[in-house]
Amino acid sequence: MVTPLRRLLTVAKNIVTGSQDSGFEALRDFARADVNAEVRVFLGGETLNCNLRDVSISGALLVPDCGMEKGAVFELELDSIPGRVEAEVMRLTDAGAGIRFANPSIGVLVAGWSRGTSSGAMAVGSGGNRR
Amino acid sequence: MVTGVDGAEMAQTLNNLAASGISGRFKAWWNGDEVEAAAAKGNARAGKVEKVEVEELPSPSGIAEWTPQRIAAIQRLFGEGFDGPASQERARDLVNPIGLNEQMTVLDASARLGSAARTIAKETGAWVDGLEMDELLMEEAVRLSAKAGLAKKAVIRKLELDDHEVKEHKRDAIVIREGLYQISDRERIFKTLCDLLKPSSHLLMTEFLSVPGKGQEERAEWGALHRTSPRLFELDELREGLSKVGFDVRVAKDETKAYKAMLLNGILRFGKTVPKEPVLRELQEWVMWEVEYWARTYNALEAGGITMHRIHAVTPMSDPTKM
Repeated sequence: MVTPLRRLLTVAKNIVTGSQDSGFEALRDFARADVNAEVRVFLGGETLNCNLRDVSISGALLVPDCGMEKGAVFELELDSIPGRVEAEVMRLTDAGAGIRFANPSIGVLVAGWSRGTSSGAMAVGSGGNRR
Repeated sequence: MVTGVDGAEMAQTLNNLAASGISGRFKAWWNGDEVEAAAAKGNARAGKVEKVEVEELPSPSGIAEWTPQRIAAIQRLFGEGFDGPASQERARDLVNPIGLNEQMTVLDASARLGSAARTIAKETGAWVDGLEMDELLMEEAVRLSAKAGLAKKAVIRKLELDDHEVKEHKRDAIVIREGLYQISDRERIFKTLCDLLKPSSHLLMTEFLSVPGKGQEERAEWGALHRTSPRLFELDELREGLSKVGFDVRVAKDETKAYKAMLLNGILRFGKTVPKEPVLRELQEWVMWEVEYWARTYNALEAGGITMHRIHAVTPMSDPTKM
C-alpha cells in the first residue's frame, strides 16, 4: 500500500517541480540511487566515455547522451567489470539519455556495482519494491 | 498488494510462504517453489490471469544482516553453498600447507554457510566442526552439509568459542575466515584460540586488516554496511596479540591483489550465468545489494583502506617435563 502511494507522490512532486522526466521516472520499477559511475559506451563502432547517474535495476541516466537518438540500442561496460551490457535509449533530456537495460538481471549487476563504486550513493526515488 | 499472476499454484505457494514464517519462506524459495511459479507467471501473462494477494517481501535494509533473502542472494551470486568470492578455493589454499588427514579435527570459528568446513572435510578427510551464531545461516549450513553427504564430518552448530561443548576437545587446527573483525572481545580472543588448540597446532586465518592513514573514506563506506562497526586489527597488532599468548606467527601474507581478482571473477561469473538463469524478481533487489556490498569491499581494498591477509600461526610445542 505504501509503495503505490510513494509512487503517486513522486509523480505529483515531479509535476509540481516541472520535471521533464516525471512520467518515465515514476514508472521505473525499482528504487533508484544517485551514483556517478564511469562507463564505456560502444555505439556504431565508436567507444565513448560516459557516466551513469540515477541508476536502478531497470535503467539509468547516461551522461552525456553522446549524441544518441531515442530508440538507439548500444552496449556499455562498467569500470573494473569486463563484459558488455545491452541497453536502449528510452528518452532524451537536457540532463542526458534515459536508458533501459535489455536484461533486468544484468541490471542487478550494473546497478549494484555502480552503487558500490560510487562514493555515498543515495537512493533518490522509488518505483517501489513491487512484489 | 494485488497483481496479476498465474492462478492456483502461485497462490498456494504464497500462502505456504506466509504461513511457514521466515525460515520456511527461504526453504520454499530454495526448493524452487517460486522458481516454478515465476516461470509459469511469465509463460501465462497473455492468457489466464487471476488476481491474488501477494505478500510484500522485505527489501534490503542497507546493512549486512542475514535474512533468508540475503542468504539466497549471496548463493545466487557466488554459487550454492558459497558465502563469498572463491570460498572453496580459498579454504583449500588456507589448509593446504598443514597436511590435514582423517585422524585430525578442525574448528571453523566463522562457519557462515559452512563452505570452508565442507571443503576441508571433503578434501582432507578431517573432522570439522563449525561455529555460527546466526540461526538462519546455521540452519542453511546444516542443510548444505547434509546435502553434500557431510552431515557428520562438517557439523555446523550455534555455539560460541567460549561454550563448554567447544572447549571439550582440543583441535589440530582452527580456521577463521574474515571473522576477527566482527568479534567484540578482542582482549581474550587470542588466548581463547590458543587454549582450543593442541600443542604444535595451527591457527589459519584470512582476515580484513586496516591500514592507518590509507583509504579512510572507502573503509568507512564499507564499514557503514555492517550492523556493528567492524573492529579491524592492524597487522602489527594482530602479530603482537598472537605472539603474546605463545603463537609462532609463521606466515602473514598480504593477499589483497589475489583476493580482489577472485572477487571480480566471482562477479563476472555471476554476470555470465544471468542470460541463462535470470535472477528471480523477488531476489533482484537483494542480489543488487549483495553486488553493492562486494563492490564497496572491492573499493576499500583498492583504496588500501583494508587489506586481505593470510595468517598462519602455530601453538608452542608441548612441554616434555609436564607429560
